[in-house]
Amino acid sequence: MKTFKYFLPCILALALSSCELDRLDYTEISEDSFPQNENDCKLLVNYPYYDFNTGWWDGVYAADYGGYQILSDMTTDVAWTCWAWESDEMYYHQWYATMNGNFQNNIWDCFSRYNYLSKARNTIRRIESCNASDEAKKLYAGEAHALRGWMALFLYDIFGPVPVASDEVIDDPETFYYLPRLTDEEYDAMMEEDLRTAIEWLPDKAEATGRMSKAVARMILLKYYMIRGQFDKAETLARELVAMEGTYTLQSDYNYVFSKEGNGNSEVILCIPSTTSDSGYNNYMTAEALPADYPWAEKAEGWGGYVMPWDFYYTFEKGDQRALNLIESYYNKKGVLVDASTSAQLAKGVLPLKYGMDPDMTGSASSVDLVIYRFSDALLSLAECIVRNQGSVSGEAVSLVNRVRNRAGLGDLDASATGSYDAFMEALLLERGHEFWFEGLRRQDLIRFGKYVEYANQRIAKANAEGASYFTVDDSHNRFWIPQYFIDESKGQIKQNAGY
Amino acid sequence: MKNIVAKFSIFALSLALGFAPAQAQNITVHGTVSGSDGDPLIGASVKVKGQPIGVATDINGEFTLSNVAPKAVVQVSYVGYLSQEKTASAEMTFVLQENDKMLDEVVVVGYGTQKKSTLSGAVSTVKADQLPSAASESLGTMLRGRAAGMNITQSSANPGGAINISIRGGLSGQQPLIVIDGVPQVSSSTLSTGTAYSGGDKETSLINLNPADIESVDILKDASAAAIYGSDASGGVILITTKRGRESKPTINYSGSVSLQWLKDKPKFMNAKDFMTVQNQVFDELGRGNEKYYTQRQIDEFVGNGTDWLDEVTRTGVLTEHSLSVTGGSQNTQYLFSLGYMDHQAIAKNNSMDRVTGRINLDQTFSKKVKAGVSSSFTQIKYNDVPLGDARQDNSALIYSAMTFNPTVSVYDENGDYSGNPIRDIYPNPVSLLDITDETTSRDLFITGYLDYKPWSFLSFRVNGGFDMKDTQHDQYIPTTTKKGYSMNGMASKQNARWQMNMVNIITNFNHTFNAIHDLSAMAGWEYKKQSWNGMGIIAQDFPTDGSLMNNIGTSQQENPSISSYKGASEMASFIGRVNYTLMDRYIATFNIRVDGSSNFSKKHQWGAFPGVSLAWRMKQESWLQNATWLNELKIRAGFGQTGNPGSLTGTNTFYKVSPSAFAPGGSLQNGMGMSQLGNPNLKWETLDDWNLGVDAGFFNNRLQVTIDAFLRKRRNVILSKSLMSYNEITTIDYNSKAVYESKGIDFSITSYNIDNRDFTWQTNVNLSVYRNRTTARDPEFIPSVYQGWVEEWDNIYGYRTSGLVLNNQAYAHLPKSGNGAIYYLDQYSWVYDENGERMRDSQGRYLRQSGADGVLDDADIVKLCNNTPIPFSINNTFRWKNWDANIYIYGTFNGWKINEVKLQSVFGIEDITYGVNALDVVKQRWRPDNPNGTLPGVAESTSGVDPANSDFFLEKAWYLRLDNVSIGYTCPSKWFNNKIQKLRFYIAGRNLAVITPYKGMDPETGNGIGAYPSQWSMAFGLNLQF
Repeated sequence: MKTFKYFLPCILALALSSCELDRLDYTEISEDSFPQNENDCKLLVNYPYYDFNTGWWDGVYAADYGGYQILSDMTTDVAWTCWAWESDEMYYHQWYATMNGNFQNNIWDCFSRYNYLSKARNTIRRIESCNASDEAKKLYAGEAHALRGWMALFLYDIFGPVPVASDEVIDDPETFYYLPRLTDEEYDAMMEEDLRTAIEWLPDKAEATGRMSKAVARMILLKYYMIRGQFDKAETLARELVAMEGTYTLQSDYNYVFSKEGNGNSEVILCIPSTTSDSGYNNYMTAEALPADYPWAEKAEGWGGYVMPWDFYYTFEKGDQRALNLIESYYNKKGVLVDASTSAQLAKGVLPLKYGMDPDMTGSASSVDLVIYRFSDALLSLAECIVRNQGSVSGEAVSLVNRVRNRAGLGDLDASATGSYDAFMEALLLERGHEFWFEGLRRQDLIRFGKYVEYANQRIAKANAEGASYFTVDDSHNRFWIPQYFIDESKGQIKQNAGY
Repeated sequence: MKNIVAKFSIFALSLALGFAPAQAQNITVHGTVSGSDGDPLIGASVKVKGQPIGVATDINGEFTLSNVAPKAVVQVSYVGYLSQEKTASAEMTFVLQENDKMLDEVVVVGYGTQKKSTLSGAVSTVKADQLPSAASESLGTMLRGRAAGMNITQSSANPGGAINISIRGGLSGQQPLIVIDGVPQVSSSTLSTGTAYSGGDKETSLINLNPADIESVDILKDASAAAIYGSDASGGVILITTKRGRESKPTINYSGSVSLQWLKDKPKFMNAKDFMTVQNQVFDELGRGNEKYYTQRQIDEFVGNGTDWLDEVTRTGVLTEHSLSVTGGSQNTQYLFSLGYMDHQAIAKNNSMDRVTGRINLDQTFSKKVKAGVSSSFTQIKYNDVPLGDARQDNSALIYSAMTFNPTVSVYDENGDYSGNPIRDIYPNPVSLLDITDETTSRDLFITGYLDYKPWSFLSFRVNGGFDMKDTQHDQYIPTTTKKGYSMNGMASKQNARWQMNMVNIITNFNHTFNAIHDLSAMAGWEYKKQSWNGMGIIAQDFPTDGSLMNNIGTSQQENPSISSYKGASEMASFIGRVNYTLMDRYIATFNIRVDGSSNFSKKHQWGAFPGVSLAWRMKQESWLQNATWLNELKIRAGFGQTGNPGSLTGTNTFYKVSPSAFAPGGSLQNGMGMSQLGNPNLKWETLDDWNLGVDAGFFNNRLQVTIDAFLRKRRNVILSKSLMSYNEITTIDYNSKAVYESKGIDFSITSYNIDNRDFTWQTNVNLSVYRNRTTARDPEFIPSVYQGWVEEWDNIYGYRTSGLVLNNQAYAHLPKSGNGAIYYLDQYSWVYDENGERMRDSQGRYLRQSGADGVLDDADIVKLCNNTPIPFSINNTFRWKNWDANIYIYGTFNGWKINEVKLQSVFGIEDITYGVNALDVVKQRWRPDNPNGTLPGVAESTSGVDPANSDFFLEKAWYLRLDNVSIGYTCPSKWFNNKIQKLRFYIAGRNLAVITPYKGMDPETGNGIGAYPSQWSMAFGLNLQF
């Protein structure tokens, strides 16, 4: 027992000396060890791509009502659904700032993304501070600049200018600054800085589909200029884009662009690349429209909701290949004919099966890339800018539109459509509707042509004639409201959009 | 441990009181020891007081002690009986009285024990052998209602279902610290498979213990007692003491039982004909009559009730348990060996759990000064799980899909495959889900040891060390016979995790009585703990065959199977101290302190001190109460203490995290890395202040014992996550809030020996707790909602008031989308506007409202509907008549509210019936044009744009009293077996026989969500054997 007598004091001495307590968690990567090298830059810039994923609810390009493409198309004449769940609020514009429910939540989610501008800004700065070659830093920082511009475009599109934190404000996160929205001019300057930098630093075409490139940055800035009505600057950009022909080309078959085989085709300037192996990057647009009993890929499951309303479907010319995947009726898996008289979905409209069958589609997940921007948009945008800037129809503009029409299996524009500025613009708007249905461009197109609210009121009048009691709407609907939470949080510095 | 300390204190006491061995002619003593019923007591401990001479009684209750000093005192003790002392003589007879109502038991208080009579904190003790064990899996569920102030509820009725333990209102938000034989157990968790399907939540706190191994459970309820555990103790402390060997011949104990279990709350869903009829009605009500699936003739000609899917996936459950232990020992070595086995074939098919436990507890005395011991236990639990949960549609799990799957189809189609829903073939066939393999194996190795060194009678040292090592392996395979498995071509998940707690402490104890009236004991110590965890997981799909399940995961053809791993550790060092001072056996003061250092905080905030002080006054000991013979004990206690909480553990560091599959350039997934958390290096300890005032009283020979404790607790510096301005990259940060949470309440505990004579005893225990938690202070930036108080009670349920249904085409401005048969929500309030048309606020920033409709249903109309704070109650009645015994145990809560979610889903989601989703039978009572007196909402509600869960429409009272145990037992007289068998008892028990409640949904305790595991009632047959 003698050893024990010595053992005890030893332990006590040990006890009193040990006061440095350390915590360990290998899943936390400290600022000391990251970011450091070129590969870290790539990891940094991959991260902000995530926000544009197609995952069910949290991505900008989600396929549900909160996703950009659906918010943009389902508030217009090209998209609708047989589901309740507040779809009529979208289709008939029955929204207001104090409404409850999913619509409010979706708009909340959209606005809450304005902190992405801070995140992308930090990403740019972190990349610039990395120990990597200038070349690599330019490439990845260029991507981050383009991503920042892309989100800024999305925000401007839906809300108009949003507050943007300066670097000093971002670096002091625990202090509460109450930031007002930028003015349009300040926003213009921010967009130009980010996207001009991206255009300068990025390659014509990215190393992989889905990454930012010079063409994408041009497309984003072009979209922004067109929303802002700066058609002279837009025309320059559109010409630069069209001049990239070769790198980007119109495909001969419209439907190939949206097919599994067409993944990576050169008409697509930007897509969300899809894969069946991660739910964040599935193309759900097929499942949203596909009826459960529709013969499709063996393991596919459809949710049978989205449609294109019959009224818009009837505007397609005969032989328009772009209507080929708009389904009026079908024989189901049991061989029974399903049409508007037996299907609640077809009663509302035709099936917008824009994306081709992915034989590997399992459940609701298809791996056909989700198309964001295409070369045909560059052509039609250029045509539009030329005519708007000249104030009259030009042969160059007509031929650009005809290129797109001919590809769709149609003849040249009718003389009546090229006869006057107004007729041309009307035809161009319809052409864009036929070309870009379910691609999320319709809302801004209609707003730019002054038709967004007008068409909505036409739908409302028609429904009211059949017994509904919808209120009519005005131009304030060209923007959505800013959720009250953010106005309150800014102590009133953020001003609500007019009309809400 | 209790025994050892008891022996020490007797030893110390005898020395202190100066009993010295007498020097005279020694004698030989022969004697018998029997109980009051005349039966001999075998293995009773007989000792000469103050001397290391001792023996145990033999099979006839006889003993012989030689070489005893003539005036020596012979002590006889036996567990469960009052000890006796007599002066030695040649022939002695001891008749021991049963010790079933003594106040002066020994209570474990953390780093030591105390006599209950001199205890000044609020501590409840539960003796495990008083708890009915048949048909119970876990000590946790057995403890439900057993101690006032400890509210245990089971949140799910699946085997090993999760429990929630909340001590005194659960103000801290932490689960209690569980200390087993002096070493805190490491907390573990169930592992998620990461697939679409997961089994029910599991209990991880007490499930690893074999209930038969437990001696006692002591609950440190107030912080004057719990402060000795400092920052781990804000959720309260549960101290578990396991049984140990004692000086006796080997005693073998066997107990076993078999229980049969039947489904108890089976919700009534529609049979096939009603389903088809209602489906057609709903098509009509939706104006979609052209889509009807069934003709009236098909309905009329349908034979039978269709498939009862719940019957298809359930069965009669069987729970068996066996426990075998051997205890005994010599004077220097005492031992306990035990083995336990429990197997539960649960009521859901393919759902089972089994547990094997083993324990060895050893105590060895080396010399007068040195003693050591070990406690070691090993547990292995295996679960076979079935998918559970509230998911709907294609992710529906077993119970929800069995409730709602189309009743018109049979289990298998004409090809022998699982049939699908013919209307919308996305829902999984419930029986197909039973093909999923879901196996979990959890192991727990828990070893502790101590070494006592007692150089002088008044001073002792103890080194206590040990570890708790847990690991879990969770495997799942979803075969291609299920819909999910088919679409993914099989999916496998393998997840594992390990947790470990290493602890060592050194405790010094000082004990002395000065001048016979100043009783002083002091304890000081140091402790170090390290917790560590690590794990990994893999999820893969696309397998060539179902045959290898998850056991050949490399055959996956998936491009990027999900893989993950993690590891972490945290450390804590502590200094501990306690002083007990008792003056004249009646004025008692206890002071505790613990200084904790935690690695969870930045270096400058690592240390925190947590004191506790309590005072007690044993009034009965005062001379002026000596004559009150009806009063046996009266003690008043008052205490204050502080405990801490290190919060979410991670708030101090700024770090990046990998975002797996952030992006898929070119269609192949790549990771990203981004800022994940903004650290707050200024974060410091949360503290919980606790005041306690208590009374212990015993009346009429202690036949009536009452303990009442009133408490007030305040939680400050609460670590919360605060929102930063929403423009920031990271929009939250952990901080110490200025909010103060408060709990006030009273715990009552009454024990009454209603009848107490030789042949018949009837004992009643009643526990009752009443408390309310409140938020009493807020951060200055806080802006309450219009319906919310600055001071706010917890568990308030807020929502819209309703008044029946919208009828007679009545149009309401605030319900523009609600047609006939929709819920009539009340528009009770309107906002108050200033001259600029801005909504006005009061001084706290809250928007103002005023009575009167404004034509809009919004936050202004939300009111407090009820408060859901439970009032836990239990009553236990134990009867003994000759050799018969009986027990009736009821527990429950006198307050509770619950949304009837199954009903809400059926009624609100009635449109789903057009897809072939079945609904509760009560939907027949919905409003329809041809049923204008229907009381439940019709199809119009689903388009109202209001969520009925935010209203009182489906809110029901859910207080309950559960008849948890009714048992009758018979103990065979040992004479029958010529005393070869000491004890043989047979019993029959009914568990969960009835629940009295106004709640119309599933079980008010376990029936949570829309896919809750149905609760069960059981009949158990068991026996206890001792020889």
